[in-house]
Amino acid sequence: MRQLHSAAATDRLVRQRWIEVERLFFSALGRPASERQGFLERECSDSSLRNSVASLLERHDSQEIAPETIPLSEAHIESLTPGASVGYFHILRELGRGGMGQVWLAEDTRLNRPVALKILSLSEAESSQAGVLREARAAAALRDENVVAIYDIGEVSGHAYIVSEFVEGGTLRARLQTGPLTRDDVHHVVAGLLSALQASHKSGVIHRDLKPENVLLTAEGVVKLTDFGLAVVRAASSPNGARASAGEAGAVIGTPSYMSPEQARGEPVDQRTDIWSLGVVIFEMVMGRVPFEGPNTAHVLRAIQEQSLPSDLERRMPAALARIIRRAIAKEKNERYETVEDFAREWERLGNRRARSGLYAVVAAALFLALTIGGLWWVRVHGEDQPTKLGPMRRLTTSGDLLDAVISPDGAYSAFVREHSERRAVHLLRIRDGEEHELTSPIASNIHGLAFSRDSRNVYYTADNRNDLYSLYRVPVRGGPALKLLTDIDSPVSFSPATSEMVFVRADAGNGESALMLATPGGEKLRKLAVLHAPEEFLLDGQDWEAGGRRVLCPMLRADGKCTIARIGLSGSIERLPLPPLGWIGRLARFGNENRFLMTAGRSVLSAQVFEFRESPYHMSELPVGPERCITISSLSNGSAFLVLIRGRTSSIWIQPKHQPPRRITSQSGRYYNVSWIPGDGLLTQAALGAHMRIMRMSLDGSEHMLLQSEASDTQPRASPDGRLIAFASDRDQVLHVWRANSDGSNPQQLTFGSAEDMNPEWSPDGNWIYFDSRESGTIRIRKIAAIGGAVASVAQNLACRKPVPSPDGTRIACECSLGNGPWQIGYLKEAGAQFHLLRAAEYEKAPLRWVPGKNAISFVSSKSGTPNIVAVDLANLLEKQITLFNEGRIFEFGWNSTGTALAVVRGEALSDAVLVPRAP
Amino acid sequence: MQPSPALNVTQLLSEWAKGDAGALDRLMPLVHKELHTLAAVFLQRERPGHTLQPTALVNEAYLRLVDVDQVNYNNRVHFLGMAAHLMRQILVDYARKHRAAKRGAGQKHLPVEDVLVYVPEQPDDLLALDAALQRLAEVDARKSTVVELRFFGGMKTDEIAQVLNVSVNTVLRDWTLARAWLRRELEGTSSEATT
Repeated sequence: MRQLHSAAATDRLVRQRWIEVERLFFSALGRPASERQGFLERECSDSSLRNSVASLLERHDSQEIAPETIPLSEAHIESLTPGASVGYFHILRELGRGGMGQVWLAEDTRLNRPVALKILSLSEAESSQAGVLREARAAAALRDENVVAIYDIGEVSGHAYIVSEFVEGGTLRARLQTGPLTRDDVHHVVAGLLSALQASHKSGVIHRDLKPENVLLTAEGVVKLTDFGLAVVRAASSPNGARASAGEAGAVIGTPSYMSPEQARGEPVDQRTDIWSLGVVIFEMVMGRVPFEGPNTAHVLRAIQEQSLPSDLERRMPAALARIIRRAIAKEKNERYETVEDFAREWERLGNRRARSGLYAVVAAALFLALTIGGLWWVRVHGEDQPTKLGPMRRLTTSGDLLDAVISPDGAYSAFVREHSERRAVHLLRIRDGEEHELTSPIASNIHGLAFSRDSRNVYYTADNRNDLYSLYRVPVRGGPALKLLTDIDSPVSFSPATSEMVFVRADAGNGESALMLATPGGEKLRKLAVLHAPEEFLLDGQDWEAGGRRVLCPMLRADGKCTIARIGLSGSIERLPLPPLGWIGRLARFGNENRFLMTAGRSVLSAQVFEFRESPYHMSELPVGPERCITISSLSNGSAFLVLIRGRTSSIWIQPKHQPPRRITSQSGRYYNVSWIPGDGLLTQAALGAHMRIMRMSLDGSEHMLLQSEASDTQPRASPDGRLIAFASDRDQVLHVWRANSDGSNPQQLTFGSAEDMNPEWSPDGNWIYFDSRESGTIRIRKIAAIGGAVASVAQNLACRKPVPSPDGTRIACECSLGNGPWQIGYLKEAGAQFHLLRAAEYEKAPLRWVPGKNAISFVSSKSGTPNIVAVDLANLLEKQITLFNEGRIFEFGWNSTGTALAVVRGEALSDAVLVPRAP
Repeated sequence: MQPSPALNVTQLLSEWAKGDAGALDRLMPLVHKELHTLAAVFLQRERPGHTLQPTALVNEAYLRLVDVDQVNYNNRVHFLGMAAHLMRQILVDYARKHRAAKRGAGQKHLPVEDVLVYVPEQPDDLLALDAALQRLAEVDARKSTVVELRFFGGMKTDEIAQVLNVSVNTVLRDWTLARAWLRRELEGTSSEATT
């Protein structure tokens, strides 16, 4: 047994070492051959590891074959299509296309690396010009972290081709289209561009076409400038230089907005033309638009030469920043920075000043915002756009069980849904004195979509019938029978300011159609106002009207899976607002009579908070309501207060050593969600901090320190059996996926990808696999992935199971399964055969399921005795034994230490309550 | 009437693709049989210097077994992935059987890429590659699989990416490192054999 263990430990060491070998190999490979030895010596002190990597690099290099001078022929260029092999390129897919040419992702089959293959068509006159490619070739020699490397450049029968490094990621243009950048982002991008320009100017290469389309942002956040030298090809290929081709080639060259005045005049250019263009890019990142605009190319070119910058620049951004922009975008090139070095020095000073003295104090809170949604740096710069200040909040309920909640427009009442023994009812609470009564009798149906009429006299709600369709009901606030108004409704209703109309969303999943419906408040004159088709759809949690009653704002799902707001005109027109990418939007409500709106939104529902936004001038900011998740929102008609339904929990961690009473090791008011043991003595926990879930390491005395920090929520940490790694679930890429990090939180790596939501990771006892469950379009399956990454494998492919926990001997997997769409039951799978062995029809029992160390038994939470407690069932004789003796509270999570001598338990109360938030007086 | 193998395999492929794991169990013996027959026919015609291209055999088996009009790209890729593994087994079995007879011939070992072409007279090359792939699988299963799919299935990078559910870039990285590693590993066995 001991030997087995040490063999497994050796295996793990080998694997650890391999991961390190791989990292060093590719880091070294990305450097010039002459620098690799030095790099390895700096990076790695273990000489045997270093030698191993060096010997691999040697083998790799000996395979390198010098590229042929002309890899492509004319016939090749004609036959470019995915799957085709042309020259030594295997074409994988098209990356882009425009009037001037095409860009393909290809594999260089000789050097085994992905490349971007750009083909530009040249006219006969152009290709006859000698030296067209000379400067482009000089650009190809550039090697800098912030420059996309050009591997090869050439010309073949009327085409120029450029083979360059393939950079995974998007352009700065695409990033700008999702919303403005944070200050930190702007600084990062500009620093990268300055570094790229310094490298190229030193080699005598001027970019000449710096614009957001040519700035790539990799997934790792590296800024890369591309298309060096292309401007030369273009400029030379057109008799009047870039000016004429800009006018003609529209699609590729796009706008001339980034051209310097001397470029616009067709004069010779030097490095200062790049400085101008960089100034324009900075202007655009900060202001959200370019400085010189016009209806057509000629107007823009004239504006560039004649029009001055807005005089109020200093009021719209920090003065030091405005000064830099003014100097970069000076009409006379002698007035600009002479060199990129000068520019960089000043830019650095701006960064330092900001760090030192809080020059940007106005935007202090924006940092927090940036962490939350990739925030908006200019929001706080406009004095009049300060976000609403909030007064003291008031918790209206404390029962922790509300399903939905809204406030009446006059602020007199709150309506909410409560559930009791599987039956639900609408309740009404008088805010003045807290008096609460049932407004409807309890029914077995689900109740959603609460809304007040504008005059606060009626409550509307939707309830489902047996056929799954929801119907709309109206019940007077003073009491009386509920009246059914219409059927087939999927969102709350919202009433126009004139109260003559209402809108709601009707989703027709069968036809992939989602419609915004318009009707009278009585449900008559029903018609479709606007329709979205799958994969786009209107979200169902609630929309609202603009103050003028001419347009409706409705949250929607975009084709890329992110959420935004659609603005629908009464003619049926749909505009999609340029919000920063949001993973989740709940309910939207107008806030007062200006066009200010509130909504609940976040990266995912795990970090849902309240945001305030205004359409014109467009701005958005977070309103700090509290650490709990904000689910629905509604407001008083005069905008003096709003009501949020918050969801969260108060919980603490308890330790129960064998045969001893449990003791609490954290404060009573913590917000812990998860606990598990680290081999040895510590714990891993997940707690809500601010609006995010954080993973922490905790000692048994309750002291803790944070292991992982990201803009996202990290959840469900599990230490590997050897304690060296942590598996966890995180929405860092907007979807919950399985991740892995070192035990100190360093080197987080994403293991699973795609649109499925993966969570509940658990290690196999040998530490080789991570089991998890995966949810996608209504199905849920257990899967596993090697701890070092790789392909995802299915476990019990045809069974709807979740929360897998491998047994210590590795032969079984405890889990919850739903057989034939029935309720969740607890039991286990045998890894070999995909058959579910039922342990308990989970009426009172629920996961987490935990194997009892050293015993053939599964433990779980049972409420059969009335109070939730942990019990263990012996799989040999199915006898049940109670492990804990708690007499109150809920058990959210628990885990055994590896020897079975102690339990760690997360206990507490759930929270789902209505909170009234007034504006500060 | 016996259903035609093309129909049968085609249908099993699509059932497998839909998630019926049982279909794979029925599919594997059919594909194995066909690959085995093709390889046997080829290898019996043994003559000095003749070579066998595993990837050509896999492709041949695919054309014989599958009604290509009925099969989408996805299913083809999964077929190739499975066939690559079977092809490796068949060739390794064959090489083992012929090893005794060929032992001591003292051939020099081929570079990695050339093992792609199997020379029946040099079974040790293939066995050395197989052993190296097994060792690689112990530290990094995915890289070993990438090589297997490429060598024995003749699959393209994007096809491998799809089978393994990873990005093209990952496959290329895996291939780059695995190739350097195998090269070092095979040179190692070569020098051991000669010294």
